Amino acid sequence: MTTSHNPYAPVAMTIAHAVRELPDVFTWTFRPPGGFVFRPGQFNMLYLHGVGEVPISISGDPSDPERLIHTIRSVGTVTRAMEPLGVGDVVGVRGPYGAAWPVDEARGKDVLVLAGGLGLAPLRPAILQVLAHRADYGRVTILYGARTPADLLFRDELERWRGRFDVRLEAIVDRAGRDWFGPVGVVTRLLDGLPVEPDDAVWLCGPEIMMRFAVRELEKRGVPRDAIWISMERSMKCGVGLCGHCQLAGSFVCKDGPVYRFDRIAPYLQVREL
Amino acid sequence: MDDLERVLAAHPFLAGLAPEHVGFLVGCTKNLRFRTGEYLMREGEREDTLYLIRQGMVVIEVPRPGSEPSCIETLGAGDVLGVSCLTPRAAHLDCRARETVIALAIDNVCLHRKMDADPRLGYAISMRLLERTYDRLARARLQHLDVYR
Amino acid sequence: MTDPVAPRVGDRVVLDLGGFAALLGALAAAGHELIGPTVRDGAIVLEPVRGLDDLPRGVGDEQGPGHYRLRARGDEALFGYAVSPHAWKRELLPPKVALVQIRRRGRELEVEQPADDRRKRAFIGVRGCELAAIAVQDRVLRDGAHPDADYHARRAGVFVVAVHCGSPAGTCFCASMDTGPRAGPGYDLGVTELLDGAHRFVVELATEAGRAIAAQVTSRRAADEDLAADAAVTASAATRMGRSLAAAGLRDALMANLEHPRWQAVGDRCLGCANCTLSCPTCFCTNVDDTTDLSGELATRTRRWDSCFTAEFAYVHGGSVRPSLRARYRQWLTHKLATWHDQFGTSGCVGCGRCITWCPVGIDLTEEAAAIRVPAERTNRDG
Repeated sequence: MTTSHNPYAPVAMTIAHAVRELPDVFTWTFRPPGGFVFRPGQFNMLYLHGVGEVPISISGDPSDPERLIHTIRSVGTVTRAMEPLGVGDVVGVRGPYGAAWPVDEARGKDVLVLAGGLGLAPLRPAILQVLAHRADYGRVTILYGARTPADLLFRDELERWRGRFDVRLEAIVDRAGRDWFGPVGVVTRLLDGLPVEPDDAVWLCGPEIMMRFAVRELEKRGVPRDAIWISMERSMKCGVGLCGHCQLAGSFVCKDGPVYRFDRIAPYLQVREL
Repeated sequence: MDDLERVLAAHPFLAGLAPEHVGFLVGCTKNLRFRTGEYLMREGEREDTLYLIRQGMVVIEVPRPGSEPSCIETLGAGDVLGVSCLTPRAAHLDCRARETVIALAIDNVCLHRKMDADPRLGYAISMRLLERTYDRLARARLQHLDVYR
Repeated sequence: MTDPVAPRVGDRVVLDLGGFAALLGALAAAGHELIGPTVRDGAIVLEPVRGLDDLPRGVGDEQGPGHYRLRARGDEALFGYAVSPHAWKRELLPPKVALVQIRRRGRELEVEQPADDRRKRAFIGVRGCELAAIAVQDRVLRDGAHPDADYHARRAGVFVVAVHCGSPAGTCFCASMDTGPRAGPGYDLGVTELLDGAHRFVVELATEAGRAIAAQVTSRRAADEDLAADAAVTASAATRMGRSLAAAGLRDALMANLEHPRWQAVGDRCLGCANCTLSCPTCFCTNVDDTTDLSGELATRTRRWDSCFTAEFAYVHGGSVRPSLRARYRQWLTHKLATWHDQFGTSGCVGCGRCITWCPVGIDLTEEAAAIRVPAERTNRDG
């Protein structure tokens, strides 16, 4: 009996570390024997026994293949069932799939990262890769928006990045009480007063509305569409271009994305219900 | 050109305004400093000033009974506070200095007189206020969508 | 020394009815399961057949928008019909397949893959449009970066007996899509049934596998008059297409008219029943269901057919991406006739007409495509 490689067969992995980030967001770390190599922006299909599978971006450090990290928001049937799992529990993993952030291609440029909400998770590997080769890049700016101060993801790490002398990091929230001393407003407010150049490499990730809004603000500041990269999200069943669910016009988000150069996907984003 | 006029001309809100128009406005303008915690505007009070913020953070808040005020936006250097100055009405929000704030305060009554007297000045100021209002509306709508939910 | 009389690859031979029956017998004897047309429930369906007697002798089909009837032809033709509601994807991409099983032992998970289905199957009576559809699905499911292992295995075991069409139906437009009535390359044996004069079959030995099977039955070399009759069958069929589709420039024309009012008009008629996607020989969308046995220890992942016409087919956090039928019909049509080109370099449509026949409200994609490619006139509305 010979079986050809079945793209639907998951690999079992054990959770080595589980931490709650926010009330509805948790991070799992796996330590797969032999390591797990991926490129920033890629995702895995995570399988929960008998329940189902979901596409989740890898949120770890690409230069540390011994640790495979996923940050998951509990928002649907499968992710809600995943939430109670902890160290020692086993899930299935298929991947890595998808197109990556163009981190190497941005060498020599100023990099602007604009993230909103959970969108920081798929960008984290790209940020880490840039910081690991800091001398290869120009100005590095990270702008992050969240709903409230309590919803700032990876807050400790944000503060560490902010503390570096070679990184500019600004965070903003949609609303706050009196215990927040930073700016309040939409994430694009952070662009005001920032030096934004047409030849910057710009990477965006967050809710689709936020990304569209941010592109408008960037275009107002002279950034061309082919310098902006976004990460799209669509429902996926197979993750490998066989089931058809993730299609956005002629594009399979699982194969041609989830990271897209904005000009290549822009016409499709303008059409309602496409 | 006197100091105040130079500072007024340098504010982004008036970028591109003809120098003679900047000169008209100087008479309506004072350079004010607010200490931390002082209010530039309070809900219910008449809005009688257009502020061009030069420095420092201003918090726009909604006071709520039984809990601390909710901050819905912050403004800073380059921003404008009191865009409804053309249709004077009572402020619907509190605007408080989070830190030391320096702002150019343009008296509304004086501003209206100047705008009536010189329609070209009136047009230039109106267009700028409209643009700022439009931007604020777009941001407010995006915030309203609560996209991170 | 090779027999100078024995036919070689590329030759065409003639079989009589008995010879054709023997051909099917030879395929069965060689270990192929015969899958072919047979009459059941008022339709010609594709199922395992034992031999000649199971084939729809003397049966023809009448097809129109939302209309399908079998009729008595009054002759003995075995392949005197156009296409079955079934497509060969039922065999290659079955409606339900268990992909993998995962057993939980304590906290461990063991992944068990079923053995590949490498059964030998002979597809009897594959039309040009159907052969083209199989080639289209090969590109999608077998030739990409992540081939579907199940499809790959099933496909490898298939022997194709193609039939060049002589009886097109009212919804056929293979000639427009360049997929018929003569079947293109990809078959092992290519058959044209001749009914004028003696009932006989001109059989082309297209591959070595085809030649080897044909060598086991008595035949005679095709004479000039047989070849002429063969060509005449398909030439005539090409003039009797029920429909046509102007395929040139269609991709660009449709993508330029994504807000055409016609989409709303067809969306209002469409029931979202998904018949078109179920009967379409190139539609490949599937879903994966996860179930467990009663103990909860053995989980099965099953791949099943799905359709872009279902509301929950494409969703994001917050809801369906295409809540309206208008949008879902547009997705199906633009995928089939336009974006398929971007993805796979060909049209997704082979002109078989099944979507027109099996649509309960008779939506005709040739009509819709023709209407939508013409930009709508901007009308000034008064009042």
